[in-house]
Amino acid sequence: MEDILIMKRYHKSIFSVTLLLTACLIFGLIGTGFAAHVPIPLLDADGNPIATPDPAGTVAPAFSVKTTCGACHGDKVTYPQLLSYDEIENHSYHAQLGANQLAEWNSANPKPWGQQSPGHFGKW
Amino acid sequence: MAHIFADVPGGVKFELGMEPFAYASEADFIDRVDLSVPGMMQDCAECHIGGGGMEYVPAPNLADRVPLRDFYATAVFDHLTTPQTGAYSAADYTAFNYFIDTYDVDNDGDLNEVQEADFAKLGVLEMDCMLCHLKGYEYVDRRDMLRAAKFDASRAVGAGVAEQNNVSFGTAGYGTSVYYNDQVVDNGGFLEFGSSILANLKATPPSDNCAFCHFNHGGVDWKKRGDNWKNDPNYDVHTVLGCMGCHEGKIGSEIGTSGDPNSSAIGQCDPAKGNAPYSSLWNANDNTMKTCADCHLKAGWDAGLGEYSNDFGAPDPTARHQALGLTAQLCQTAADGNVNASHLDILECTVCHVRKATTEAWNTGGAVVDATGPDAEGRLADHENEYVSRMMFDGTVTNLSYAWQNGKIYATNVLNTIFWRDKEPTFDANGDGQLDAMDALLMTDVLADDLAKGWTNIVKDNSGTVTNIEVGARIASLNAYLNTKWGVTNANVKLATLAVPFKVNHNVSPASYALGHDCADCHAPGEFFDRTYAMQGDGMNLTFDSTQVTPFTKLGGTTPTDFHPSLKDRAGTSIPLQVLSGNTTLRDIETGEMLYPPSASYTGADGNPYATRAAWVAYLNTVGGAVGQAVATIASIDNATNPGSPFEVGDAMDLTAGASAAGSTYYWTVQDAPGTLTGQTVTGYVLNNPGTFQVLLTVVGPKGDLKQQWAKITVVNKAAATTVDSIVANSGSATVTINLINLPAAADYDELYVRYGDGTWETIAYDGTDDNAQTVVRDYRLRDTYLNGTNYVYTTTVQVKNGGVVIETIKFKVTIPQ
Repeated sequence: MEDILIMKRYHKSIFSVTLLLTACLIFGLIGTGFAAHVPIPLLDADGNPIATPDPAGTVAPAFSVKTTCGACHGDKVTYPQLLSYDEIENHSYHAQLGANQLAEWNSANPKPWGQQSPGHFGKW
Repeated sequence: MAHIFADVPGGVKFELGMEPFAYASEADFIDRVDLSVPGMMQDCAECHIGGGGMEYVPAPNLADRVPLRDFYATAVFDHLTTPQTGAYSAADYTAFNYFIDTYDVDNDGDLNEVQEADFAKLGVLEMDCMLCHLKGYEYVDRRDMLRAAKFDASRAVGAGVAEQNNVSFGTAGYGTSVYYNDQVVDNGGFLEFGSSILANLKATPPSDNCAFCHFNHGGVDWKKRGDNWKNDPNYDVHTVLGCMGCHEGKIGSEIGTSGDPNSSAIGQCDPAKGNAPYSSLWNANDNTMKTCADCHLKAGWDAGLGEYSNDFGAPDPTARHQALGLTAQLCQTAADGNVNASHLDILECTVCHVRKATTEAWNTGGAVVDATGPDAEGRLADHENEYVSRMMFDGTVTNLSYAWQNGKIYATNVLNTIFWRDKEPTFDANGDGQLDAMDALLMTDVLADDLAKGWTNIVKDNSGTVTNIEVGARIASLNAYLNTKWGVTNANVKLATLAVPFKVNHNVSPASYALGHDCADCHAPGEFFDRTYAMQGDGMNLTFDSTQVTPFTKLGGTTPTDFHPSLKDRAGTSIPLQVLSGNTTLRDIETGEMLYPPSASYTGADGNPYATRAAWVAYLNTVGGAVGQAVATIASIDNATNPGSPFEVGDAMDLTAGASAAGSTYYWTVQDAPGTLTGQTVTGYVLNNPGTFQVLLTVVGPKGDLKQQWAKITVVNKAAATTVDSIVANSGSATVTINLINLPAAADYDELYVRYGDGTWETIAYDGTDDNAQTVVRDYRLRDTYLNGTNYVYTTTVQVKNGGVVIETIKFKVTIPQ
């Protein structure tokens, strides 16, 4: 009788562990899914959705990151916490490379490339 | 070089707007332009992300910028005809819609022709989010698209979701359409990224993506930093943190969106910046990244932000630095004899901690950029052939030099760009409209002459060994080319170099490699202050006649130098340093030449004057032992009680330190008891406990530096003299009398501590009789557990103690018949 009780406890324990592992697996995978980015429709430079090529294997417009990423990163209603493409591009020295630092004409050093910006734009 | 915006007459400021400069004709454009905006997009953008001037025509107000896509559709500011009269067209030759075809986009073999950049056909370089945020991004594929001027396609191909089309240059869709692959999926008739792309989009850019442009990748880093570094924990102890561990903005940092270059707020997608000495790009963002001190000294705390950022558990090195004397006031903030700074006050951490101590092949720097001709990939200068690079470590010596920035010395690697320029003051050799004697030649002119002669760059063509013969041949050829091009007879081409001291601050080595463990690491001849620093590549031998070269510039209009003016002394004055001009080779330098002007006078910490750099460096090379530094040497540890014998409990110990600098203070700690002893010599320290202990000598020098040395001693109990004279035990009786003799004199012990071996113990006071004997009477516990045959047997221990200290210990057996 005691052996039977032990076996029942053993099976119950195995069942619990299996249930726990399964739950971990399921919720773990769901967690991975949640960790990935939300679906991203591809948009062209004009902001139009890019149609699936028909027939397959034909050319299609290259996607624009400004419109594709900007569809959410700029939608201040749905995603108010996200900065827009323009906000990021405006305030990025990696993007501007001096294009936002163009200075006035320097009559003392009037080379066309010499004094217009400290970065690539206007420095050459 | 290109004239991008029209000159503004009458001093009218750019705030009113900027009008693209229009060249008179295609011929005028090709005469005066080597690199226009589309050319930058093809070439420079291999390491630049797009956006800014690669997406818009710049304007003072960012909101007023005209997209390059609309260059032919929207009126761009026209200063001379306000209101604006209309958009530009293909008939207008500007730096925005034409370029020199150095990458041969039409595959006709002509690299010096003009091509139109119709952005409706090419696309533009938007700021490519994927380049940083997509794990597995294909940098090389993107670069190939850029060189082909397929700008919109560069993002899709770089992301790995498409291949380029087969459309010819000049045809609609050339740079704007692609063949998508299975990394995108259909959703209701429209495309979206597949799951693999979504899963690989990372909020924090993977370090491998930073590596595209910032380390150990195709030599691109030599352009940015002058040397490579490797993402390997053996060569950078911070590798595990990833790039953003240090370059992510600190918690509480303001995130900017205004685009105002005077804003200190960092961009959300800009890594926080350090402080390059020669850079002036958006300097308001300088010093926004985590510094060594932020993590190692402040636990991540930023007082200005009032927040803790992650310090990654960085160890605080203060004690170690103090022990090495690096926090002691031994140095000067000015060489005026006023000793008012520590080594840490005047050295950036990287000076000692970036050692680059490996001979592995990746550990190279770009000694020379050869801009006398194209490289193997068609770029108009060669950063990376086998002759222009150099190893950063030769197995013994780290090949770095040093320079000042804001009163601190930083480690640097100098990158020399050799290039052609015209010295004739009456001849405008590059068509920039300015007559001066410093015209850098158009790179496309150099390319055209090289191609006509079958040359590439001069170092590569001559397998690294270049003499005045080869230099003279190229000068003659370029003079003839320019004379023909411009219809003159006085072209006067010279070779010049621009030496830029790049800041070296990656590859932080394990601390054991650091300088500063000994003064002589730096303060010795041939080390920090006068080590030979090579300016040429390991495979180079560039020689020439002194008449074939010219300085890069003249400081103050009079003093020639080949270095960027950012090479400054500690007070911030540019140091003139000629390494090519005035010489017949691109000469090696001594490291001290980058730190100290040759003719300045100095006053040492010893108060003595030094009239020249040479005298000053000679002084610095010997200064380590001359300024009263601490020395910690344990000269002897002696047994004063029994000289020459091992220590026993109760023995007295004498300690002697070797002499340190005058004014030093000596501290001793002996681990067997709390407390600190002072003095170069300590006598009569009584060892009260048995065991093995550390003896630590700490010496603080007169300037506050600290040195330590330790030794180990072992103390054993004294051999016991006390013996058992007799034990009186009767059969069946618990009472036992133990007579002890040969005990110490009465003055030397005050109690006995007895463990009877039957589970009981007691402390028995000295019996008051100074006869070296004492009797112990005890009723033992007669338990079966102690029964051995017919006797009860007990192992009894007696400790003779004085003042709580065990003087002797004896053990013996007590036997009681059953």
